[in-house]
Amino acid sequence: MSIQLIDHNEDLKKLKDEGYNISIINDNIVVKGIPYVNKEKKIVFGTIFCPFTLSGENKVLQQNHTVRFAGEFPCDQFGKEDKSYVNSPQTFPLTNDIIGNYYFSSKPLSGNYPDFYSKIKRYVHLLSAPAKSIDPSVTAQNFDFESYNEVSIFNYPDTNTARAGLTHISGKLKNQKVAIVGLGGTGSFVLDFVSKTPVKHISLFDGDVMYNHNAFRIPGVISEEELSQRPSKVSFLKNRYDNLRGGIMPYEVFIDGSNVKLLEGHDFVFLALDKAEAKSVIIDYLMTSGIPFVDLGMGLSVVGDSIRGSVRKTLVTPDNSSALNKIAIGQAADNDVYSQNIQISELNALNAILGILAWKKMNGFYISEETIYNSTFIVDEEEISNAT
Amino acid sequence: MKKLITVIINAEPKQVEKRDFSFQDVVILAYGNFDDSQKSYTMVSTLKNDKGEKHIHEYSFGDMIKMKEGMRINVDSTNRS
Repeated sequence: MSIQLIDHNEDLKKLKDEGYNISIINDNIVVKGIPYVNKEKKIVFGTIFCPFTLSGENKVLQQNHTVRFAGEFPCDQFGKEDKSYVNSPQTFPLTNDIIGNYYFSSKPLSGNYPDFYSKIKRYVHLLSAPAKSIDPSVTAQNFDFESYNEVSIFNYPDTNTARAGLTHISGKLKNQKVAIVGLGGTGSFVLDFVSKTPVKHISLFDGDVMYNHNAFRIPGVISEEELSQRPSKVSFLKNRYDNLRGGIMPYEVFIDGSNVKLLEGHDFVFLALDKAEAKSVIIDYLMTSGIPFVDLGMGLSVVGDSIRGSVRKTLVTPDNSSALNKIAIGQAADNDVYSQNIQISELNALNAILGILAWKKMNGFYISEETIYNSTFIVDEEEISNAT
Repeated sequence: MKKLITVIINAEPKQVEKRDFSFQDVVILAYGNFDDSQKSYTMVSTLKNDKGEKHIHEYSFGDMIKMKEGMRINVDSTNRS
């Protein structure tokens, strides 16, 4: 491959700038990652190539109007072979990995393409139009085609990430096993955010059932019928998020000293629980086991006829437990404003976001100049106090 | 008798002596007592200087809090989720 040659050549540079996966291999111009449809009506990705000869310094001379194709017989969106431009099956190895299977011929009325740019655009269009009619997000431009058809934890492809070419960044979270302890307002928002990352496994721990007031704190909506069945929080949430992905494991238990070992083997734990005694036991276990965690909590009160308070996240890692004394491990009062079922789902969401940011930063998903081990958001001032 | 100043604790104005307060003293100002079973509180103060710039400070148990006129302190047991 010669990047310099591409940059010096008008036609090729234009294709490269538009995001095509273009390279020069063995005196051929090669464009990889072109979506097309195979006989099984599945979107797959192929490669086209054709020889090139330089004309002068930076113009490509068209030898003819054909290209070779490495892939299966291209079909329309219904899986029917498209013979309008597929000339004949013809094996032509360019390299060990790129082996031409078919010869394409779509001749323009003028007899030849004016330039290489128009030629490539034409064949890309012929191949990808049926694929786009199945999934409009697929494209030959700036698309992480290698990840598109990988066996995924999701029930359908995350085309947003693939389209942006950012799969390698979200991949940093990929093989993780994450636990969420406590699936109230904050924990359910944590689940909502974690579920949309490619983590392998999400364990949910909560022994409670879903009550009316929970329905006003969690993301999304619950129907009256679902609520009347009094489902356990974790099984309800598992069923809901099974629509998006696999790997969710519900545990209808409160974690305490007798079962804290259930957290063994997790890469990261989100603590979003009110129960005081349990929290000390869990924290001791996580610290002994070297499992990093984030504790999330808020405290609210009513002054006059408005609410005030603080929202806190505290990160503890095996290397740094400096913020441990920020974690409120006391039993929550029974008569505070939170227990009176006031609905503050935006604060639950904010608290969850603070925790998610800490976790993603720890894994290099976001740049982190300095680790913020404790953050406190003051509601009335909208200020965040950060401790490194 | 020390000079009295006004500080805002949990959104309510309080007249206090201009001196250093212990973490526990501030919790008592906010809640009337220090509930040891709570074990820990989140305490953050903000204070604007003459230029209007806000300075934020977070305290832990054991810290002393230097009370200044106009200081706002938020102190909560952040154990709800």
